[in-house]
Amino acid sequence: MHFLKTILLLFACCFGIRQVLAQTVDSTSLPVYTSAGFLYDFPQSFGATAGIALPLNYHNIFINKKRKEKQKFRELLTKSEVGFYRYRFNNTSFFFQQSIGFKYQHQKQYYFEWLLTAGMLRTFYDGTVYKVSSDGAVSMLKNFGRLYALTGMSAVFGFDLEKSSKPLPFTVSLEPSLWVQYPYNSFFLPHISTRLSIDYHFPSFNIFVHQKNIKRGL
Amino acid sequence: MKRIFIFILITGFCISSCKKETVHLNTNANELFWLSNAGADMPVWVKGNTASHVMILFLHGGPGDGSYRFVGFQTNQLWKNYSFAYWDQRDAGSAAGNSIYSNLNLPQMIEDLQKLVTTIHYRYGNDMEIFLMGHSFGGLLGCGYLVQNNNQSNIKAWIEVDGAHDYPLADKLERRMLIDTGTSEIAKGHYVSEWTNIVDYCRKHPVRSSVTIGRKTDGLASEAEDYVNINHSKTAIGIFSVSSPVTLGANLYKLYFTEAGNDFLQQLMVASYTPQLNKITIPSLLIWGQYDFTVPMECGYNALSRLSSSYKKLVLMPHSGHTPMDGDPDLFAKTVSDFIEAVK
Repeated sequence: MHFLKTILLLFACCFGIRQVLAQTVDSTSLPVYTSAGFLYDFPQSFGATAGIALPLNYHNIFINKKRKEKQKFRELLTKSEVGFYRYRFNNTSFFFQQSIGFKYQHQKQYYFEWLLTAGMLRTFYDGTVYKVSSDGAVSMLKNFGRLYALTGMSAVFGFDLEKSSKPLPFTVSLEPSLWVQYPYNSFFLPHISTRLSIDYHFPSFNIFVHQKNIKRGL
Repeated sequence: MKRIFIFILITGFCISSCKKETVHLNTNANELFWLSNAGADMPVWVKGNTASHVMILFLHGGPGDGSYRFVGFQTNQLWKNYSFAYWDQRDAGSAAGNSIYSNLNLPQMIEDLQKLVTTIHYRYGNDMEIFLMGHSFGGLLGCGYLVQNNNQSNIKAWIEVDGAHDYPLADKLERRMLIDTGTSEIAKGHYVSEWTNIVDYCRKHPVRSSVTIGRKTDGLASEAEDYVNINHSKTAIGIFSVSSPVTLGANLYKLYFTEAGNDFLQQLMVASYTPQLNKITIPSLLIWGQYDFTVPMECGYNALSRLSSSYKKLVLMPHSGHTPMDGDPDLFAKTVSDFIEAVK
């Protein structure tokens, strides 16, 4: 038994396991954000996005660490987004993507999110696309492009103006992301993108989600 | 009212779908079109004077490099009087689509080129005179196209620029030139450690027995140009301003790090059109960099002696390596221009 306790203690020390002192569950009203963003895809594509972010649940965590009490929030959220970008002298791409991830925020205005994304992307090539049959007949393909699956991950560094001294229903965020489109010439095409977004919270656009209030101590 | 509106909309859509696109020839064209063939979507960027009715169809090297890096300062002196079509071959440069691995081979690329020539005549008219210009690997592709069927009837003339129409010969001469020049430069005390490294590698690997050895030797040949003071412009700026290194990287990865890509490169190691060069009868211009270690100028002399063209000429570029349009841009432009005026 002593041995087991020692192991558990060592495990707690090594991996910083936090002791949950109390936990209550209720519901809370959280803002639904609509967003508009400017997208840059390396090295020369520019575009725009629009979307909506829905909170799924909310953890209100009180931490009592060395007699200092801190509060932080963790929100599980999902985002639906549509967007497009132009790759000059190549194509215009339209995409739809669905993301899920966590938003972390302390009592300050800054917040951080990480998101996993999956979606679809459709390209439309610049200029006319021709196809030549085996007998040499040429035809033009209208609105030709390709459909791809996309998946990736992103980090969001945001600033919440609702928590400023003069609250405004906005957040501003910068979102670097790494994603791939597949299949691209029987392979995949990696993308490195950055997005600058403004998220707006309509005053009456809130939804109720489960809120867990957790007290932790060490 | 609603039904009338829908009817007009559908009718308009059908008419626009059936209508042949009108392409206006002009003196300052800057347009893009695509050829979709066997799963690959290949962009063709047309620049320059299409109203001249002369189009230089550029076949890039690599394979895999893409042609967009030659758009701009490397070939733009010719845009005033002629037009250029910069074509990205399948699985190269900015080419997209979803071509399957087994379609990455020389016969398929020759078929792509046949269809591209047909498309250019369809788009710009049959009176558009096409001058085929093949650089490096493009030299092999161009020769492969010209010796097949009656393809030469669609092409006004052939311009080979440091073309690798015979890979085994180019490989043998590359090694010999690196060793000979290296030995001579070491004796003169120029870049001794660099040349020693190159000479040692070439002596240790006397034949291109694998794709890796070939790639390494080509890398050394490119490096050697720096040691004989061949100037290179900052092509990276040109590449990144018009084409994506990510797209290029994905295509190059497929070529160099997949089995299909390696199979293709293995095929190329033995590819040679030397025995069939006598089938080429159209006017031909051969342009070679005097300091090209990758495809040495003896390859040019080899082609010159075998072509059956009534008009054929080899011009050496005195300050160039493997890319004469970069090393001697003025002389290159003048040589091409003089040739076109002589044969058009």
